Amino acid sequence: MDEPSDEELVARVVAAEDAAAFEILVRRHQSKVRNWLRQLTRDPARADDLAQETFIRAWQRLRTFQGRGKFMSWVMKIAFNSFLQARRRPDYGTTVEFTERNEDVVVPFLEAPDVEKMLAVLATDERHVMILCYAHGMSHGDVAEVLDLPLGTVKSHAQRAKTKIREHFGIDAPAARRAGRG
Amino acid sequence: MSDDEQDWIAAFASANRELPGERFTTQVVRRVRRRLWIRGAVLGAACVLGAVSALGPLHQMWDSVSMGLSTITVQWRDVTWYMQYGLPSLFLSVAFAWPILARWLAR
Repeated sequence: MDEPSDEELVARVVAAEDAAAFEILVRRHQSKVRNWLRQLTRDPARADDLAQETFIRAWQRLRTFQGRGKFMSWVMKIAFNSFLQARRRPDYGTTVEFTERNEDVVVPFLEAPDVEKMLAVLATDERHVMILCYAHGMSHGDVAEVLDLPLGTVKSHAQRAKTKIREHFGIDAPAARRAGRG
Repeated sequence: MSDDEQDWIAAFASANRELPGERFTTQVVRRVRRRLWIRGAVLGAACVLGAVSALGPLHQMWDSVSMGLSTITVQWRDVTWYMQYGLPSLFLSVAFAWPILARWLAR
């Protein structure tokens, strides 16, 4: 039997507060949301707390999801806003910055030191755009929705980020994979 | 999708490894079900409390209404009553009937 689509599951949750349908949605999207929050917070425990908060907020606000965009983008946007709100709290503490030489930074959750190196040469917005576009496979339009940025800005961030990585690692245009391999 | 785009996706693939989600999903759904249960319990308790606290005033209201109804029934044929309350009764009738009339006109 075909898996129900996100839209069908959302409709079931909105119509009948179907917790089983919501469970399928959580199971389907938890990995992306948690990875996105891990990349934002750089702290797996905090990221998982925020991811739980994200899904609880999604449950509460599901009636406001009007189905104009993708459910995934909508949840990623809630996750991003949860992160921004958490970061404003006085008890949030410091964030581990991305570093090019990251031998002294323990990031077992990322398990991608080469991606670390690439991200370290980027500005914050560029980093967010690159992670969403290429780690999560989202379109520029979806990224614009998640980050609440104009579409043109997202495209220019992506272009600038790629140029920076290429220049920094001295690689030819179509050979980004080599940078990934270090 | 261009080769360049595929290269970038391959380069960033390791930043989005699938995370095991059984425990996480269970925790989230448990919190959702707890919220539903608490809301149901609070609503149920509020209904019971509301009904209990409304019993006294409802009883009084019922007494007043039944007394008023019997008075109106007695006074209904009294022309002076109609002369006294005729205009307000007409106004009230129009106010209540207006939405029905408007819907009928719209149709």
